[in-house]
Amino acid sequence: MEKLTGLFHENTLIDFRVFFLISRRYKIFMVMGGIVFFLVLFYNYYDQPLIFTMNIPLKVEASHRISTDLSSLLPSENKTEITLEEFNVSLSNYTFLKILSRYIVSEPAFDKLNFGNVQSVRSILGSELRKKCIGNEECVISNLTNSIRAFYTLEQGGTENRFKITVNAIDKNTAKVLSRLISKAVEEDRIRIRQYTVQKEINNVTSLIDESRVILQKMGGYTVLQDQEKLVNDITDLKDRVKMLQYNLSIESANAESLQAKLFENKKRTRNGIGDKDEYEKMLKIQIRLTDIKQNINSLTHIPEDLRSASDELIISQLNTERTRLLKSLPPEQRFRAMQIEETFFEKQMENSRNVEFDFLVSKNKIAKLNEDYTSSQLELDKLLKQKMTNEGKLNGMKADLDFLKSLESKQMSLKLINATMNSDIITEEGSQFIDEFRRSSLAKLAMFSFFISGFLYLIALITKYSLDDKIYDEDDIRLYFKNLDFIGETPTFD
Amino acid sequence: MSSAKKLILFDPEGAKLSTDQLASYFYKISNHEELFKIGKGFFQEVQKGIKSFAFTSTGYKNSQQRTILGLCCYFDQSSDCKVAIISDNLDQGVFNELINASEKKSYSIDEGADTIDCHSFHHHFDFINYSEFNKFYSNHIYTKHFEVEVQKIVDMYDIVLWDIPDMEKIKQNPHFHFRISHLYQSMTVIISQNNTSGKEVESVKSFFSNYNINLNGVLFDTTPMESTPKRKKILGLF
Repeated sequence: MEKLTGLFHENTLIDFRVFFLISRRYKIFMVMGGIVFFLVLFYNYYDQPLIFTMNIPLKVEASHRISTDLSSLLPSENKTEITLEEFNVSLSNYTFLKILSRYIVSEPAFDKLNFGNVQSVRSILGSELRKKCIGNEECVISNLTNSIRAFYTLEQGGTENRFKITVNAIDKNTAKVLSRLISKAVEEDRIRIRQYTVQKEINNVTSLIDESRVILQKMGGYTVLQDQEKLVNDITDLKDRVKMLQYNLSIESANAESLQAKLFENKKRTRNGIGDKDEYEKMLKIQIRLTDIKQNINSLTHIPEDLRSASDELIISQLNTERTRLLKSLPPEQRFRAMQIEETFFEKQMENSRNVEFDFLVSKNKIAKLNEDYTSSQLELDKLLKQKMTNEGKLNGMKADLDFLKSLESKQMSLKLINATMNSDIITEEGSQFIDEFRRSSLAKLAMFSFFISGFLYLIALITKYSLDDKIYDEDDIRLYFKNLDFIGETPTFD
Repeated sequence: MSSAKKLILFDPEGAKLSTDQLASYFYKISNHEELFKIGKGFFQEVQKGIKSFAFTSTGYKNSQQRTILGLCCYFDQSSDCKVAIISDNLDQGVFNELINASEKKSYSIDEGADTIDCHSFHHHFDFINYSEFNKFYSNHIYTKHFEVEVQKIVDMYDIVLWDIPDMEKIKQNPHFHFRISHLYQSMTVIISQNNTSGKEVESVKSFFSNYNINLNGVLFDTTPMESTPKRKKILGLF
């Protein structure tokens, strides 16, 4: 005990002189301390597994919005901001880990991948995991989900919208595969997260649409709408039909008048004979002109009155006036005089007269029928128009609800479009495929550790040896052991 | 200085006494400074009145003799003291050469009833064997006569240097050594540096404390380390 107290000094706590003396005395311990230092250092350094690391640079892309005409995607003014903490939490999320684990287990080279933890030395191959789960893939995925988070860390990149995932593994190939699959899983997860929000909105909008439809259903709005749609189609068809009937009627009327005139003249000619040729030609010209005028008038009157313009009315009036004038200019017995030039023509005219009469009768029947159709169609059209107005009145009362429903449906469509075209806001940037390797603790750190360990052991050994060694080495030892003994000197030595 | 007989430097015929042999020992000493240091210390003790110095060791008999011889050389060089060397091993060691060159003489004791033989080295020192005292002791075991007569002999000298036998030898004849130890005024133990343990010194100390003798000083014997051939140190350290 006295020996040990001799190591301490009242001023400096430790008597460094004594320590120095005993260090010199027991040099072998210094050597052993040095050996222990190097042994501990190299053992700990080389005992560490080599860790392979790879970096995945990520960048946050700008979000987009749908254009108003739903035809294109436009960049959004408000950029999506993802913080490091948020991103870190999403990378630790169970869903993400499961997605990643699923990708890993589906990898063809899964059995050869090494899932040993970088903290421990033991390697765990994929084949071992599979064996442990007796081939049950869900079990393998579940086991991997619990441990895969330890293989990567997230850091902020060079700018605010950049991140870096560092993948660590104790096998080079595993690091490469994990890097690739993590990039893929990140993009899929980001799409899922973003689609989740949109899907929620779609669901909300859909439920609102359903509610609105139920309300409208109760109010009979749908029935009215459907009727209105049908009415509009029917009215359109009916109007077309009426137009067509009018047109046909006009044509047929003109035809009938023409036939009638022909018939009359034929009859007359057969009674009165044929005049001279010049008169015939003049009468023929006039007749032709009359026929033209008649056709023009029919064409113009074919246009419904409400759609006719002022010029149309004027033209009709002018044509009627001309027609009247021309008719007055010709004596009735001379109208078909020209036709009496040839006798053969007369016979032919008789024949024709009989044909014309037949045609005239047919035409009259047609006109009667067309009139009937026209009248009924017109009546039906009026009826449909009235119904339409009634429906319009009803629909005006439900306008707000209908507009709301339309907006919702439009919103739903745009949301569905967004959902379908959703992409990841975080993309993997092109980066170096270099795989770095290192050991967990650096040589310097281990050297410090080894120094402290070996230094501590050296001190312990030194103090132990000093306390147990009762050999007398110098005067101090004599004073320490034998306070009453004086050190005189050394014995004389003879050469 | 005592009233002991002064050293005679010249014999009656006028021939110069040879001191070369002793001087040769003196000049053979390699650590003169140590010798002077310890010699001075002992001489100071002599001046204080202590004349009987005992030397023991932890097994270094040769060192004892060398120390005694060295001191004798010192005393011879620096003073005119008459020195007696009492040892149990005069035939061996460094004393042997001097014994061979010494003249044998006797002291009559107990009023002529007994004699103590000694070897006188050119009137410088007298060498007396323990056995001489032991022989006398055996006839005076139960009387104080032994101490008186031995004291008379010791009084004839200025300085008496006792080369104490090994403890084993002492244990063989404890009573004799106990009685003669009363004449030891100072005891010095010679130990080996780096080899002798505290326990060994403690055992010597406790042994002699049973004889009521306290150790006064310690001398380091360096001869065993020097006798081994020095090897070249590795890196100057090991």
